Amino acid sequence: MTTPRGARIIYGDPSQIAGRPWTKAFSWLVLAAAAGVDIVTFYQVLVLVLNVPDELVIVSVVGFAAVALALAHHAGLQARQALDPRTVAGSRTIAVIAAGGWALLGAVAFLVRIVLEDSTGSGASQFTTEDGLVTDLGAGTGTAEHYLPALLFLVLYLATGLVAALAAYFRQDPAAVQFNRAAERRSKTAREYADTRSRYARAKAVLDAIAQARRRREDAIRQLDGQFDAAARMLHSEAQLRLSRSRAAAGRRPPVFYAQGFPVDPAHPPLPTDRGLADPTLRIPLIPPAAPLPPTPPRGHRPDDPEETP
Amino acid sequence: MRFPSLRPWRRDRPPAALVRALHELGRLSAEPVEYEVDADLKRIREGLVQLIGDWVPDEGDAAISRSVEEYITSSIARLKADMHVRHDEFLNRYDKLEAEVQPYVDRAATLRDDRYQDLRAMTGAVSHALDRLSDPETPIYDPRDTDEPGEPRP
Repeated sequence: MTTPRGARIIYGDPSQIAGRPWTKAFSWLVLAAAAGVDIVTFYQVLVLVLNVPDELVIVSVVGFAAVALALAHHAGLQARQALDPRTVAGSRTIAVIAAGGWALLGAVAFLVRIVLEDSTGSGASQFTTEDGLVTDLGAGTGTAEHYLPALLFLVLYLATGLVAALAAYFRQDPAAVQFNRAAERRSKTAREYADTRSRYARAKAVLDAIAQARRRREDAIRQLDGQFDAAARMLHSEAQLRLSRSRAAAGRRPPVFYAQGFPVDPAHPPLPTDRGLADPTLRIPLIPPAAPLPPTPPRGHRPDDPEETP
Repeated sequence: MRFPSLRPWRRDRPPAALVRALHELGRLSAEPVEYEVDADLKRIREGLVQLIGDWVPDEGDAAISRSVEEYITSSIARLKADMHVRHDEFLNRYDKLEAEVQPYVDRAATLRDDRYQDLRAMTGAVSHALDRLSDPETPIYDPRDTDEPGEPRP
């Protein structure tokens, strides 16, 4: 049996990515009020039990209220996890433990309140007259009214615990909170990546500008080399022309020119291995100072014949 | 020649060495590349005319041609040598600038690559968080994998 393929089934609620409405702030106000109520009610209990200075009683009262609210909060939170279609492992157990701890805390406080009310005869009012006579009007009177403060404490305790549990139960899905955190972190990382890219691009641009300036300088020096070579050829031509003009003025035959205008020295021909021999357009290599020129060879003389070369 | 602007770095100031390198590059580029060939050429030509004068060599007197060629060649070679010495000084300054800037380029490249990897990882994290919110049974892909993520499941 194969499972038919169709639309993707979504078990979650991606719309929670949008977050909670601003009215969510009222629930925090309610939680703050519940914390205040817990502090007052626990103070009435702990002040009867603890034989310590009043400051320490306040500290213990605040801790007591915080623990009670935290237990109620986690009980509601884990209950939500336990009821989720994607059950989180252990959430049901944690919810039971948290709820049991919260209930036990309230029950013990309630019992202490009742027991101490009975033993101290609480409920009676005492006052001092001008004569110093202390009158106890309510001692030993009534039964139900003894339990009224304790019952009130119990109701307030239950109410504040329920408020905290419901606030946790209806809180935003932790997966949505995690998504928002991840998206925010990704945006921050993207900005940092853009900054580092910008810094790299700027530093690379400076490096490229240096390389470009170097290339421009090298191109310029290459062109200048060409200009100097051209100037050398021009000077050679000018010198040769000047010598030719002088010879022409003296009635002599001008020398033979190569392509670059240099005369050939028949006494010192270029060597066969020289490039200038095969390419007459190249400059004839410089010839070391030689002895006086030999006489003109006879007809049919081969200058490259080693046997006939002096 | 256009130089990179420092404007985008107003928020985070660039390293002082990079700013110095940029200013030095501006000074280097402002110095003229052109070399006065004509003035030196005129001086060589005058010397050549003075040497040759009105002397009339014989047809086979190749020593004159050799001397003239040597004079010209050596004069031009000396000018070129002076020019290349100056050119090498410029190249040394460019080398120094590159040596100052290269570490910052390497550091910026390393940080950029690191941030890029972080961005890829966070992209995977966001995708996984969305999958976890919509359907936790969806497998995730390894954000360290450089390949583009495919469809997580059919």
